[in-house]
Amino acid sequence: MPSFSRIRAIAEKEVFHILRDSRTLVIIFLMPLLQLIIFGYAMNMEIRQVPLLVDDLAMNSSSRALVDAFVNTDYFQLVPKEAGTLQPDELFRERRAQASLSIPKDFGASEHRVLLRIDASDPNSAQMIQNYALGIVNSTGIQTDAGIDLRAQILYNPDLKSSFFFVPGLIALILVMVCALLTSISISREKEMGTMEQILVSPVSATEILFGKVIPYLVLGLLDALIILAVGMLLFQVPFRGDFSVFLLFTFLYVLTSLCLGLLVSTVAKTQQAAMMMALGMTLLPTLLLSGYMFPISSMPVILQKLTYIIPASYYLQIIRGIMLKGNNIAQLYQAGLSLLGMSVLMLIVAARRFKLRLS
Amino acid sequence: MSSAGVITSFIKKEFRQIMRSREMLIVLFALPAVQLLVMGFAVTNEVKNLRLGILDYDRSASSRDLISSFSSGDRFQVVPVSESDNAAELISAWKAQLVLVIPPDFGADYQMGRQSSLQLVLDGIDGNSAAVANSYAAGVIADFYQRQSKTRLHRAPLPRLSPGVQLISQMSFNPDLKSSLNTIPGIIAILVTVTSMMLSAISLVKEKELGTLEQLMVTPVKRYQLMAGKLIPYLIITLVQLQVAILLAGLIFGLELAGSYFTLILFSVVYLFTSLGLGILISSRVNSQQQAMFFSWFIMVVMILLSGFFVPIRNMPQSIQWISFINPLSHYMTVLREIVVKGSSLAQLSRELWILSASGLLVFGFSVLSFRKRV
Repeated sequence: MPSFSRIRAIAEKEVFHILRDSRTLVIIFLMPLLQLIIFGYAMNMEIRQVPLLVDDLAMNSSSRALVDAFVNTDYFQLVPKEAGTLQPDELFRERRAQASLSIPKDFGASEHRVLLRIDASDPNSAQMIQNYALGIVNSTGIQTDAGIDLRAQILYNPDLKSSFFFVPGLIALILVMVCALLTSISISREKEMGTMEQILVSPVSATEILFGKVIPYLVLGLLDALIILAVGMLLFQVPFRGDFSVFLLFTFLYVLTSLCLGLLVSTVAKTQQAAMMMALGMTLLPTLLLSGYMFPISSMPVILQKLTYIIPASYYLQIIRGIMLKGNNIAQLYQAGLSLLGMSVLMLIVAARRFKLRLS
Repeated sequence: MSSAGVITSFIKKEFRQIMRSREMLIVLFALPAVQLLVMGFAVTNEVKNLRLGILDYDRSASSRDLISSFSSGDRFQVVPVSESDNAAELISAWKAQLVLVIPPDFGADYQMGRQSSLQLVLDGIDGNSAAVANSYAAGVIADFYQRQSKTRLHRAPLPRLSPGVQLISQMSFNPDLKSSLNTIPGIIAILVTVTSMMLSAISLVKEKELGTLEQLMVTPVKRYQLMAGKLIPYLIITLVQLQVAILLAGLIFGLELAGSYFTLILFSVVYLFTSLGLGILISSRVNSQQQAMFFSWFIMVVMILLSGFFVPIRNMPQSIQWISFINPLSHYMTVLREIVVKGSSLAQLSRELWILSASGLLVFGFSVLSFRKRV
């Protein structure tokens, strides 16, 4: 029977370890906040003030009107004339322009075509520049037919703010980082230093050690998550539309899964360094890249899409975004919750078996 | 023993230590390969396979035509819906990312040349995807409209086509708009940074933890010899890794180097002074390997986020652009992209060469000096 006082003793020791290393603690709290601020303010997909070179061979009223239409938007900004002697591609290499507009000699009279050359080394920006240019050109000339009236309605995030997307994601990221990464490091440190054997010969049972080690990190992770949540809601007005108790329930499940992952890593890794590398490889990177934290899962190749099924964060992201932004209830999220539960049970069984194997 | 001899023996020892641990080798070569593969495919702003629900209350030939133009191509994946579903619920329950509602009189209006209307409901949680989805859908509908106008029963008075301007666009360097062309050089820049910084950040503190640093200090080995002995192997390993990454990028993603290989290596060596210097700086200031890892991760994450890897620096607010300017990774990433994709020459990158040289001199010099003071 696990004894509460022994668990508490181990947990207290672990808390001392955490508090003593104040620098790591600062990073654990500072990193997500900094990321939040960068994402909130800097992650802007809209481009403005694209440096545009205009090669106007017509120099008549039509061409001037077209150039004015480009310049009068916030999207384009004219590149000074002297650069006009260079070929567009050379100019792109010098990074003085991102697009170049050529207006032919007979423009406005017999010719209606203009050529836009775009630096497509960043394809995303290139596409956006093309769309802006099309919009400008269409609004100056063609009367478009009002044939089909398309009304778009955007739910949950009508202003398409990126912070709505990243705040829940950061909570998922920081929880897996603190719970899995720190737990695995802390356990493998004891192993590396040989103190694990000392604890094991004491009357403390393995279960008690695990609980004692894991609880402080659980608290730390939850605290960190709540801080991000509060900052996100206050600074970026991210809504919380769902039920807070549902959020807590599922977050607890996710934390449990992360801790089990950390335990599993620590039973495999022999040294702190290996534990860190493995934990990074198994937690941080997959969570960043494959969970839908930043890049949509549906755009990935099929193999990677299958891989996302074994990443806890991909379920939790659906859960937390569902609760915060869509106001989902348990009935809409129970499948994701069950997947998390199943994963943690599986990992716990494997970790426990490996742990016993190593001790015998 | 001559100075060069001391350094050589250090280098040998360092290499032996690295090669001895299998885990380290995996970390050095297998991890980058996996990272390149996973990131190369996952890091994309393209939006594909959007789950589209269609609520067709019209059930006419026109509406069926419209639906089939949505289901061709890989941008939309039409999900089954039932008659009783409603758009907001489909999105709320994660069944669809966008829902197209076709009202009962769509086909009739359309065939009679009256203005017909459609409604599109989108999930705005991922703002970027939603914006892209919206423009895709508008594109499909515009295309459908143009295609179908010719076959309509009742011809509407043709749109008044004033002699408008026709825009022809050409895409330089990347005509197919492949996003891998932009991301792969970025990933390689990140790999170089991660490997060099991690290795050097752990190097000294490991000796400190094991107590061997003190032993080294009492030997007649000079500090610059110690530093050179530690850093040259890391420099070589990182360059080898860079080589492996470029090879893999060519094999898997068909990425060809447009510019000069020599320029690329030159810039990499110059940049490595900064990243190795940062690692040494961290290593001389922390007490444990764990702290070294955390510090280097902290610095790297900030460097990566502000490097222009995910979002072009031009899109950021002015104040953040200034921070990006002092971020050496942002310059190195620019250089790699310019050389690999556009084939820019050394002269065209001279500004970056000055900046990276200055930062290398500054960071590396400072780290060597501060290491001396602390021991």
